[in-house]
Amino acid sequence: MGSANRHEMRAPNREPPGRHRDAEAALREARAREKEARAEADRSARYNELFAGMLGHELRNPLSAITTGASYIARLNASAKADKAAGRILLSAQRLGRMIDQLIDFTRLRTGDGLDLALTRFALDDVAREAAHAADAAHPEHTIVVDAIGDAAGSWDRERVAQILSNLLDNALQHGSPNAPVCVHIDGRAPERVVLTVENAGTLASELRPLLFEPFRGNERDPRTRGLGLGLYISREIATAHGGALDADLGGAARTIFRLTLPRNVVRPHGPPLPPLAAAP
Amino acid sequence: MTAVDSVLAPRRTVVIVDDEETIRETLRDVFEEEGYAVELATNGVDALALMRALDERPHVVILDLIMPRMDGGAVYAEMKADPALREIPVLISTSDPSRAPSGVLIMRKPVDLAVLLDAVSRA
Repeated sequence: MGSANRHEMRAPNREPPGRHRDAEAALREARAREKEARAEADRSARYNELFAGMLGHELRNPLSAITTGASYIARLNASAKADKAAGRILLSAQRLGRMIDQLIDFTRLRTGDGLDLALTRFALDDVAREAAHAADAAHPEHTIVVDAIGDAAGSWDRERVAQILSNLLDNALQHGSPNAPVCVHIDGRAPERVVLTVENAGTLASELRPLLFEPFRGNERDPRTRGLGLGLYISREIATAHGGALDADLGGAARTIFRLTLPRNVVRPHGPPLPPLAAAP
Repeated sequence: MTAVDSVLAPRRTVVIVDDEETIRETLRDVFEEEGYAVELATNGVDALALMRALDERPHVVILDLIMPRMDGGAVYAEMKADPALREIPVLISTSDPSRAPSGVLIMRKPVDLAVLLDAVSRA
């Protein structure tokens, strides 16, 4: 009995050399198949990302025709109804344009191209007031208060910073209580950085908090959220590209605070600066 | 300029170069409504031939970048190399500003019509 047990335990070592070589060959083959499958998955992911980027650029052409056509109809002043319809088309086109921009940004980030920064010197509170004005028009039921202390000037990408502010304000207005104002505060007292906070009444559901800066938050998102679920992810990447940070303070009592910290001078901008996108001559 | 002079004055010509028909035709309607003469081209080769054939220098060229046969970047380079064309103001209208040549006004699609009209009037 004991002898039989020893025999069974030692059996693998007694396999003929040919079978051992077969097993090694099978293992090598399996590893090669796995490597090829991984390479194929990487290629597939890369193609998907390139496709998303190309699609984003291609969609801008028909969108440009829609936007120009609707603007033209509005300029004709044909009738109040036509103006109203043109206005609705423009609003939808703007929303579509933002989604296309996000898709292109996301693709650039995923493919490692990074976000280009066109640095100019400006005051953060100026951009905050512009963003607040635009958000105010879209959400007249809310109040937005902007205040600043110290020197709010620095060298950043104005359009990108405006993109962050627009996103933070949209979030605050969508999720915040309309009974309390959304407060934008800019603190420029430190010599090396400027800090901007966007604060609203109301808190996020605890299950949403870990996903806040994740891309494509999909079904886990708050049902009031519209769009692709990329805004906060891209906003944080823009802050990072400036050498800064974007964080959320969700632990406070009945308040939600997003904090954007930007160094006054970007040390390592990602990629060459782009020419202005839509500047007047 | 009097009203009569204004009527008799030759209209300023805007050349629109874009392979997207809906964009070309919509911009034609817009600029004609604004009192400009409009010439259209669907690619870079036709655009250069058109500009060289015009009696008067165009007021401005609105140039797409990604087009068949010859892209907008090559058109711009050829215009800058041609003494007859190099002084014509160019506005780049593109879905991908990262491809645009440096030193030229760029408008990312979708273009804001008010900004475009303002830029053309100032060109």
